[in-house]
Amino acid sequence: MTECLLNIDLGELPGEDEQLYTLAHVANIACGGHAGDDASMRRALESCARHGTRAGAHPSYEDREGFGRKALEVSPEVMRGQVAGQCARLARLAASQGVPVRYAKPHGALYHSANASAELARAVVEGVVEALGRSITVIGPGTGALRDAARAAGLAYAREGFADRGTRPDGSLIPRGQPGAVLTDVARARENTVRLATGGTVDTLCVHGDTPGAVELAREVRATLDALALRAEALGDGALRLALPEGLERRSAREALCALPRVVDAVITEEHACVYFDPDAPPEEPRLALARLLHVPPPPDARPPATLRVRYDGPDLEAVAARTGLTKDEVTKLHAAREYTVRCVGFLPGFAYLGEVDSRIVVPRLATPRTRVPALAVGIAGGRTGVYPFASPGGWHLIGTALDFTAFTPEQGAVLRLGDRVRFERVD
Amino acid sequence: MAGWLDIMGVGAPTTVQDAGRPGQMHHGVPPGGAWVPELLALANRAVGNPWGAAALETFGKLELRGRGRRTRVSVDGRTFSVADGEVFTVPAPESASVRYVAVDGGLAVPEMLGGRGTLLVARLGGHQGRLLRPGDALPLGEGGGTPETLELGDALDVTAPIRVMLGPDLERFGAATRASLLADTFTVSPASDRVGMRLRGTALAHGDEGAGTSRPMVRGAIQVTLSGEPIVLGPDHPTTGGYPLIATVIHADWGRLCARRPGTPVRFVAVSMRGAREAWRQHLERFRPTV
Repeated sequence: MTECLLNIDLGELPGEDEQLYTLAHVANIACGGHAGDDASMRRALESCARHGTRAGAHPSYEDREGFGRKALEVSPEVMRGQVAGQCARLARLAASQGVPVRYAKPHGALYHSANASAELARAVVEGVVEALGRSITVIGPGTGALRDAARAAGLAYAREGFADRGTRPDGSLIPRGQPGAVLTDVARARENTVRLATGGTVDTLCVHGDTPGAVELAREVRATLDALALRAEALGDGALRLALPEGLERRSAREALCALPRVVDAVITEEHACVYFDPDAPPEEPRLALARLLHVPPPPDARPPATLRVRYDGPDLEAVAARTGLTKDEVTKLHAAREYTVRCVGFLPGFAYLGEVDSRIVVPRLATPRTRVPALAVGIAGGRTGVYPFASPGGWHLIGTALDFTAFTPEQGAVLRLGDRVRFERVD
Repeated sequence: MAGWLDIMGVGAPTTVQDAGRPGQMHHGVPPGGAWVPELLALANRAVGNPWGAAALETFGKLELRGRGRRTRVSVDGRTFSVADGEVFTVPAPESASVRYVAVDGGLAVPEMLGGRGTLLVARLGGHQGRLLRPGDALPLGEGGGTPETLELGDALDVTAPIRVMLGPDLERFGAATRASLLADTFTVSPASDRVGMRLRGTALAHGDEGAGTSRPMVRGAIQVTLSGEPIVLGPDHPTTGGYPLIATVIHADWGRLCARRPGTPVRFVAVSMRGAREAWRQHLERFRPTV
């Protein structure tokens, strides 16, 4: 699935919330037709530059009093000139600020009337091309004259859906002014987002900047889209492997996935989260469980760090020292000098992958794994270190032995959990 | 009155196994469960136990004794009565790789982390977390369930292709290697155990050093080592691993594959998610009709 982008109409109102620029993928900037002036366009473009938001032109019927919401009697030729003029005004300011303009979306009444008239649609597209060139993506309705005109002119076209608008059973929008036309309920907007983004008929979703609670709505829509953009791969018929975004708090992610109906288990590894289920009862879109976490800081970790006592007597200590150009003593000091975090639990019952290892003592795995590593051996490989809970085969360099440590008990399972902090104390 | 199953003689590795301990992978604990779940279901249902009750899983001949009460015993679904104190012999598996001995009431070894099965690597579950040996005595549960005869049908057909879903790491293999997986015939290696079944045949080259980062694993996943050897992960697989996965055996065919003895040919055929789910639904109807 290609990523579905959030576009927001911006630069329209004084006192606009800057956060909207952090949430939008694309900002449709009012360029003087229905709203906006040089000052507001400059501010909008600055915000785009600051937050990495893609800038788009938002041309309209020239009707500032009516906010471009009413169709006017304008000939296609005049319309072409007005669209070109508005877009060019934005393009000039954008060029002086070094911000590329990559999208164009007609506003309000023009959006609808252009889509109903081949002539008007052609005029709008020609105006856009005249001012902005051909490497522009036009945003508009899923089907209709606007799409046809954009495609005929060789422009990319993004089919738009409205996350904050109610729809009739036939899928058409409930007209503004009627009950249920504008959604202000976050949960409804989320449902709408999932339905539209996964339905295959839209490429971008719009949240109107002037909808009450727009920031909250946009945040929900963006989080939902970000979650749906995560790569999900079937691991056979009973498991789904999800790309885990870096920075997502790992324990919360696991708990959120595990709490889903029909999910039997959830495992976090370095780059993935994986949910397990009965093939007869797969869960609904588990990625949405991560959406909530994407834009929320993790709770602070209340658990004090665990301290593991280690005798640095591993059979590979010499080899690690030789490989890293350090003395054995330096290797052990660097290993014991820092606090580690449990990145994953897996491989064996109770085996915790701890990171990050000091870059000065990073070594690869053994070329040939050992068929038997003794229990409680302390190993390092790549940026990870860990304690083998049981005697088992293993491919890490062994540098020591943990003393009086139990990694796993049948009663409580793994002793070290995701996110736990761990220190090693050198014992001579 | 309490009943016991005494182990008198053991001809090959034998453990206590059941339906497994799902939901413990986040502790690094594999799902466990029977090597051939269909045969466990046949054995248990024939003496009125739930399909996944704890039973003996053996790769060879056994000599056993019922003690403390009269028992109903089932060997892969064939039942007989054993008097208090009677010694009986279970011959080595004749056609499948493994065989299950169930006793009415099941083996009442302690439940640990949601299951009674033996996990050798962690010395967990079963009888003291280890292989059974002569002199071990296993407690029996209360019997009294209604027996039911399940039919294997073609579930363990040794000539049937094993159904897989391709991926998720298919892009790490070249076109020729992908074609080999579905076109060539592999054979079951004797170096197979509950951790994984190794397959002999065409090396499935991928030149992937194994990124070094561990990824989630699942029973049935076909991981390919650096030498190109495919290993189908078994019920006691490491919960994470670094080798690429070329395909995954669907749930419905776990038993069909694992029932094959060393040297038996294995061919793979790809199915869609929908095909896999439909196969699993039919499998559940056949092997878990009442529980």
